[in-house]
Amino acid sequence: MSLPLKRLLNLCVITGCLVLMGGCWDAREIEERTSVAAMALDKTGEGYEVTVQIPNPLKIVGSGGSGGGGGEGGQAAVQLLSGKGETFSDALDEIQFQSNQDLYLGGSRLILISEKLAKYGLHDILDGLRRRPEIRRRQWPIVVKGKAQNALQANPKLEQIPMEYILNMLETGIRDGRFVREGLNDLYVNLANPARQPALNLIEVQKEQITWIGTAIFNKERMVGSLNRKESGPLLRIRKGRSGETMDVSCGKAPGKVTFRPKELEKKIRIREAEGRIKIRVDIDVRGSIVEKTCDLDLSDEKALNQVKRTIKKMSDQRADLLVEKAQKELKTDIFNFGDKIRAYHPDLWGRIDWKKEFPRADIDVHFNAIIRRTGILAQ
Amino acid sequence: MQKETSRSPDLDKISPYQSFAILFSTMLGVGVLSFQREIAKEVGPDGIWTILVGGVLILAEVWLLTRVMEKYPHKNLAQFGEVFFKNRPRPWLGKLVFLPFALLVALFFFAASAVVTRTFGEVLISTVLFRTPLEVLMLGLLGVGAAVAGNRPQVIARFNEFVFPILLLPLPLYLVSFLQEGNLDNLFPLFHLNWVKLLKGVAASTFAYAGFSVIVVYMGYYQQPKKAVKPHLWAIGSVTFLYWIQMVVAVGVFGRAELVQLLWPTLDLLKVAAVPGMILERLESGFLAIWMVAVFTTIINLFGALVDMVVTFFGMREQHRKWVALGLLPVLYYVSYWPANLNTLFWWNKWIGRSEPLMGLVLILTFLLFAMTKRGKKGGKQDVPSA
Repeated sequence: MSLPLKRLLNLCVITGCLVLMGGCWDAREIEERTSVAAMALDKTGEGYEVTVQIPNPLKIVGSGGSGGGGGEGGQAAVQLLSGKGETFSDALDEIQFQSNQDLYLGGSRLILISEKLAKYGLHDILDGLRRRPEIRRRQWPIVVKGKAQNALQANPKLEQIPMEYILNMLETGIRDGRFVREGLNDLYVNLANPARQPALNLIEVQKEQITWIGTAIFNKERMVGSLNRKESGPLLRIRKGRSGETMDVSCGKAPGKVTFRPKELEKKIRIREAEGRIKIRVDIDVRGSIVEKTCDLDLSDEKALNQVKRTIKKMSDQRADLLVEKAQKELKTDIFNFGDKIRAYHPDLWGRIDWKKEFPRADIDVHFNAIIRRTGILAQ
Repeated sequence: MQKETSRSPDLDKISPYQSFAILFSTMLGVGVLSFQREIAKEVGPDGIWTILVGGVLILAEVWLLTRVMEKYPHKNLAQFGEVFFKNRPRPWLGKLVFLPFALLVALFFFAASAVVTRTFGEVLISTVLFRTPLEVLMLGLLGVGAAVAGNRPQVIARFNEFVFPILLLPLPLYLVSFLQEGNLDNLFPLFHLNWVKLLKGVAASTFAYAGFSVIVVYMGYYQQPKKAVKPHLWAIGSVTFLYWIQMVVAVGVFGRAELVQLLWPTLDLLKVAAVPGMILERLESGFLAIWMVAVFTTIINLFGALVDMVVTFFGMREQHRKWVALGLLPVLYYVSYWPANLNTLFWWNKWIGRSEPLMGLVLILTFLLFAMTKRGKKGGKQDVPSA
């Protein structure tokens, strides 16, 4: 073959590659797809209703869509589409038929699940999510009291895209240690692992107001109950070693309260078998500070401080005991994931017992130890 | 072609670093995307040490193979028959005696390249390129593969040397996902298995290490075959280390129960990791491009080894090499299209991984046997001057 001819051939091959291989048949420009920011899943009669929130890029500040002026916020900046179907894919198809572009779920960051659906069971709908490669594992599934769709219809004023309000609320709470940190990946893992149980954040929506109201407790894929704010504190401390919210404790004899804010926790779990029962002892050291005091107790006095410490410990133990009792008697679910510790560190024991049956009759003992590091910027 | 032959013969050979790159990137193929699942299925968290056992076994085998091969420098498997029968009355008999072995190895290279092509085609189709036909993806992979594999092994070696650093890019991200989502409880219980399970776990890890036998071809072109042991051991060691990290991360993040459900665990690991600032939000496509390189090197090295065996065995001229590659392309394409679904494909993957250590063992024993009979007859004249 002569040289120029060969060069020409090479050129043709390279051009051909460039033309043909730019994303192959799947080349889609970013503006050619409808990017979903949040999904709401509801249970209807036989099937499901899926609602998606799609931000409108033209209405968002900084896009320059409205001629340099400020964008619009709230529900004006997004579009809600919803579809019903017997399966998740079915419902999604119905949304696709209302949408101008291909629906793209890869940008979704929130999955809102209605309480009804959670109580019915997540298994079927999660299968639909899991088989789609574009769904990220790093997004937050949360349970909504009432209809999940309402959470997407709410119109909080502080964020441009309404779902961002819920998202930021959640991420702030998780960072502060007030909410359980359970992403979609954790949910999958907790469902798959026979020794673990999922727990998701629970929110309530009333018109303009979105409130975190506690933790939804699951027994595998079915929600079996919920914990309120006060109960979620000990749950976070025992299950995840997170600080949880502040605690008001009494000052002792004097009227008034002292408020303790836990900051760092150190937890130790010991498991053994005795008299045919599983004995679990949890020791938690809580370090924190006093943030408020409404009685005349001199906190610079070592004795008084010890008194407060003891009260904190007593109250924490009591609350934990109440929670353990609720978990064993009412929920019958190992909400603390003690089972996983047994599976991991006592495999022989795990092989012998049926943890589901053993948990309600296990002997669980939680002991707190409060350490007060600071008392704010007041000396007394 | 004319220009290159005028170079000094020593420079136109595979350097030790290139031999390291060849072995490393051949082994690092499609296995990297899914080996954790197969191992976790058999042994659970214990996979984090059975993978090391598997690596040590492969290391031992490669060491043996290298030591045997280095006795016959500048010869590859296809020429071994002639070497052993060199001073006998009928040298062509050697070729005939060695034909079954050459065929066995060629068949392995053939099947392995076909399965790797198909597996990566399936990865692409099920994760990013949903609408692109499988035929196009596989023809693209094989076409580029053939274009490179149609070159002399020295050129293939340079290609490996060039792309090797790219293969290490995903490493930091595994660590990020472990730090963010890993749970130490998932790594336990350890040492909770019997001998049968241990054996199964090690057998499952062989799939990840598949591809090491390409050295029987490329060693024929080494600059310093006597110094091949070091780069080979380094390559196996690095691959083992990389796999070990991946295994620990996958088990730590997902735990056994979730891991066995994931089709491509390594891809899911990326979906878990998040780098603050939303800079690296959706990384799958980017990292698939990196793995595309890893898979290409695997296909190219296997395919190139196959082509070289054909060319050397039949004593073809250098110009015909690319036509051999092009001629094999449609056959490879046809075979890689064969498995009906993923289950069959994984079955093939599994058996290719398991058969390779056995094949290596057969080769080592045969070489030793021939070397011994030859030494007995000819008085230990084993160092044949290079051709």
